[in-house]
Amino acid sequence: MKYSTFIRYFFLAIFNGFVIYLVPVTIAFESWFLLTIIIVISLLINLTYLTSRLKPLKWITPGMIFLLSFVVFPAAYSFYVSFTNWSTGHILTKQQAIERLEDLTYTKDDQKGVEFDLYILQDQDLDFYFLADLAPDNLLFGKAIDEEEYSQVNYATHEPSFKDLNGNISIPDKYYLLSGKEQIANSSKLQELSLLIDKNTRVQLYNISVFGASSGRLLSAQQKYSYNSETDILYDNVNNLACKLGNRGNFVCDGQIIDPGWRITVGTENYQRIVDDERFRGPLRIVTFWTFQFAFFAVFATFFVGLLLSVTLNKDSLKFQKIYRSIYILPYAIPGFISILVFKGLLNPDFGLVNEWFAPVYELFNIEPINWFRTKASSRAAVLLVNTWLGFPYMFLITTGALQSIPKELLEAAKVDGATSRQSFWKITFPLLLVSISPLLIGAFAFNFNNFTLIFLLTGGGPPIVGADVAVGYTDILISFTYDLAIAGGRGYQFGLAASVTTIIFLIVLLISAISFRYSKRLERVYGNL
Amino acid sequence: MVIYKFTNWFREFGWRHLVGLIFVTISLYPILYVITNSFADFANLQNSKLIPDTFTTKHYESLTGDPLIPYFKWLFNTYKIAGIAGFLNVLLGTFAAYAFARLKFKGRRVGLITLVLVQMFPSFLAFVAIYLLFFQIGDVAPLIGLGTHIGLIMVYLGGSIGFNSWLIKGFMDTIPTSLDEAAKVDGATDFQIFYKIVAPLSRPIIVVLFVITFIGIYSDYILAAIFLKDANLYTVALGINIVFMDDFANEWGSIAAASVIAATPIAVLFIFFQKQITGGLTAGSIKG
Amino acid sequence: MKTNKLRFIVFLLMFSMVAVACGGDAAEETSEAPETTEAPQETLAAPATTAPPPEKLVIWAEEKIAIALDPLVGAYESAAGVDVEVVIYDFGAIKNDVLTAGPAGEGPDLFVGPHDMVGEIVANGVVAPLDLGSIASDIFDVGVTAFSYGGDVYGFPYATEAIAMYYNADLVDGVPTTWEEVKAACDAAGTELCVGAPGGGGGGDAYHNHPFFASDGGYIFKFDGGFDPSDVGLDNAGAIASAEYLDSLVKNGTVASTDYGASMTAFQEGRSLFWMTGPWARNDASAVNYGVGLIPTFNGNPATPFVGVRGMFVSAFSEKKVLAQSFILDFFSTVDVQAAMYAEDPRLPATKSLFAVVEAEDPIAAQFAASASNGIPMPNIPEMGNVWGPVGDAMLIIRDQNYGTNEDTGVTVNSAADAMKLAAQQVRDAIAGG
Repeated sequence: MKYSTFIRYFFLAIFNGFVIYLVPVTIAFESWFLLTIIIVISLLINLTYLTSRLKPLKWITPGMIFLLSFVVFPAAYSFYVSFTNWSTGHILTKQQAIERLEDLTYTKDDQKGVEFDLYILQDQDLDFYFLADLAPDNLLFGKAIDEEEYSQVNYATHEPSFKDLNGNISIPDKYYLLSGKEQIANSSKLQELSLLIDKNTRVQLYNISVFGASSGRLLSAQQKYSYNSETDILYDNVNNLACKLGNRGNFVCDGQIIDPGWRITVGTENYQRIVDDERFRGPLRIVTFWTFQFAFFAVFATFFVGLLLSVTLNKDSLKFQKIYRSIYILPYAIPGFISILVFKGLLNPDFGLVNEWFAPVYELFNIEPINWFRTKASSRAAVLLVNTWLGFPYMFLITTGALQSIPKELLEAAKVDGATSRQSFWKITFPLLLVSISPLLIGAFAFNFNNFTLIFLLTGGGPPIVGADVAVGYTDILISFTYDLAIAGGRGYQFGLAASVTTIIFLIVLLISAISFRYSKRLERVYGNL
Repeated sequence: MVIYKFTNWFREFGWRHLVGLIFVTISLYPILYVITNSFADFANLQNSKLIPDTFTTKHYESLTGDPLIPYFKWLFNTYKIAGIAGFLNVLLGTFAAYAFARLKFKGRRVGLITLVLVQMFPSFLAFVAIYLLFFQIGDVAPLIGLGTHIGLIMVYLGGSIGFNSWLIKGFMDTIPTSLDEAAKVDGATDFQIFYKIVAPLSRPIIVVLFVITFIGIYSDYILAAIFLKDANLYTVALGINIVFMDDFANEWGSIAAASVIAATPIAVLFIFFQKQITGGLTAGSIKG
Repeated sequence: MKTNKLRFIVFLLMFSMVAVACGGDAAEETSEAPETTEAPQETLAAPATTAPPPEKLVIWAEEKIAIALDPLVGAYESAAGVDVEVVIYDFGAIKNDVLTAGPAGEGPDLFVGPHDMVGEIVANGVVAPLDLGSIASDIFDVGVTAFSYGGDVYGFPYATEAIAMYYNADLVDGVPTTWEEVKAACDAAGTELCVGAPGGGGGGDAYHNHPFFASDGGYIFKFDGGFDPSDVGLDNAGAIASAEYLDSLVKNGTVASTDYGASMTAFQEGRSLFWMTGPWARNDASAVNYGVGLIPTFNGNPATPFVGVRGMFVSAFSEKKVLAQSFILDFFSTVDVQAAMYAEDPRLPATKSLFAVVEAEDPIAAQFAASASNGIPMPNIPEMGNVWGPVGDAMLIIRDQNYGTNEDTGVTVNSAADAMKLAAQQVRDAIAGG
């Protein structure tokens, strides 16, 4: 066996050992997402490294694992969510929602606000007893029991003997009085226990005090709701109602929807809403159009500036070249959210330095100072300008790298053939550059298509499109529009709807990218892929 | 003669300096603003003055000594996470790129484009899925669950492998195959060709992509916020957002000071490794 | 090759068995752990203390609360025998994480948040009701109201805040009671701008603009024990009258067209005489010698700012609800803790006992409190999500005087009244449209 093969099998064995260890643990924790991913990944790895046929995969798989787990899986999950009604009031599973409802207690109106000292006692058998000091003539004592024992045990009795002549609590020897600290140590158990006063009323420990006396509250003996899993009916014990299943993932009592509900799949409903709902359709046209404009011009402007600078500096024996290059990457070193805010100040029409600088220009041409952020055109221009500042270092880096990968002898050959430097740039350098960085331009397009942070921090989408059916602004792009929609509609947060818009955005980006790739393939054919 | 000389100089070099200087101003001005504000008594990133009325170092002092604001731990964490994740990201990207550039197989182009396309999913809503996934990972393997740097690094690894592979592949395409063919004749394996010939020659693009990936992670806040809940584990961007920003009341002075300190080593590295970062495609690959 | 494969498989199996063996051990260990807590005791002396390991409470809170609690929580921990772990969070991020982490079984026992999320987290079933009991009498009504939803109270309010009016004390003696006098004061002082209020200058902000439409009978949702999403009062006579008055104030230069950053800059640089914002800005305002007064009246009615209340909640997914309740009622609500929190984050105390102390020491806090006492809590129903956008936009039109016919929609907004009607319509449509 070759050394490298041994190493490979060694690591594979370790990996498989882990997988075999992880699978039962994952099942024990009922972590189905994780289990799926583990199985997919381990199959992929074993397939890749056990056969000798899938040689390219051996190189690609390591990176693909992370792409699969943290990009493909979340994308698939969002896709699934887009078919659900996941929104305010519908974020739980049905089982969780029922557990929450069954957890709720209630107190009859005349017993609300009654708060009293509660003493926790324990006998030799370690059973707990509650002593509730409801009133001077009503010192109730009895065994604290959990829900299953309600039918078996007698009700609490008035025990004046637990108080001495001065009205202080005095506990008989056969019981141990728990301190606050001891109550806390047993709180998980104590919170399940109640002292039944009569058929309908119980006492529960509510506040364990380590500094004073603990207190209790009166509750109805029954929970607020009880659920029958066979009939799938929820009973409202307060109003004596049977609540049937609604069609949106709730129980409905007497026409009232009961919160919390749970999430259900609703088919293509979210997608239909985007198509059918007037409120979305109107502004969607403006927003979509601007999103394309923004993404296109954002890429164009950053690419233009980046290329301009890299071409400018791509000259041997240019002085200070090194310093220039270092400075151009500096905007990159300041986190984006800070520079966006700086620009917000610089562009401010009243105090901002930009208008101050341009004051002579405004005067010279006798024009009104630009009213940044308050008009459609100025806001859009501001968004693009700031994005250019944020993005040009990236393009500068990329184009500088790409320029240097262009074989010098090609350019020299062109020079020999008598081409001017301009000709050789447009005929040789630029096309070759496009071939090597077109995927990046496509990527930058996709990034800007979804450049939420910039819009959110710089303009918040504004200025508003007055008269649109929903609140939307002229610099809103699809993703910020989605964000607004996701939190503004009916009862607020609408995750399912947002997921469906995201899916549509993804499909649009995919389509454009695929077309661009076809085009770049043609470029490659013409100019060769070296 | 002098004029002729000048116009000649201008056509060769002068315009380059002119364009260069304009963009130097544009690049530096907002940065200067952050720097001067870090020394201003009442810092406000939207004020109308570049030079503050009074100077103070109190914002820098606020970053040292307060055990609840372990700023230098954040700094270390940031460089550590961005460094490791950036390195592994580029490493895995280089592996994948090698396969796409040098191994002939069916669906090569489609495969690579798929990687790039998948990367374009707007991660806007992905946080819920990542959250749920890591809750489960945390149950099974707490070492890489939520709250750990390893988990965060793993998520960053998924972040840009597609784009990076494409770029590196494009660069590798410019390295003449005659080199590896010669090596093959000498009996070199794929891996030897990779790490002795192709990878070293691809160094310029690898360095550039490392810088880009590093910076992307360095300024990320959203993913870090999902993962890191212990103040000692924060990154700088996350610490600034959590500790110094609160609806309207933002401590601009401390924010500016924190950004300046965090950015300085990066700026210095840019200057010292400028040649590696932007320059330096050794003519070697072409000359063969 | 064949032998290689065979060897490999043997190797793999060996490894797997080792791994499985280890794994099995680990699983058994964890499942055994809880049983040890129930070891029965024969003696009567303190039977419970020896048994279980200390309980642990996990709290999600923002940095300032963590700092305030840090020196105090130790005393509670040792007295109560619990571990209290405060996880520091970005205040605004807590809601999202509670909604995600709670149902996944990874949430906290207690968390803090603003009161306006109460409706949403109740509808989602992630918060448990909290009976404040006797301590309720020490809390200002606005605090209890803010945390009430559907007849129950859902949190302990610990801080309130509302906007008021800062003034530059070097240039003016105080804030006049009417806007006409404000204008006169500005003319006398000769500052570049008069009142810098956030919510203009391209930055929509329904929060800061609330007094401009709700002081004279206007309202977002009718309040009657709870907020009624079907009764929107953004275009009633009072709202329109206030908005039209604002329009005149903008036209005569009293209220400047500024967003938050610009209003702050203007005030700090002495370029505006007044700044309308909240107590969080006191440090920023101290760039000049400042004072604080009430926002001037509208038609003789006091200005009604939005009141925001912050509180601590018990998670519905907590397995230690009684302990969590006790932490709030027995420890967190005490004056000492509240005072420590006030010292760290000077939002107005929500408890009367602490406020009495603060009021005497800090006249500016008293001014903010007086302003808040005229205000109303932000609606805490989930439908409020539909309001911020339309109302912020409508106020922005007035503040920036962006009137005219929109080229894209063909809709004409020529007056403050038109803007309010449009906003009201958008809100009603959004709520009806789901």
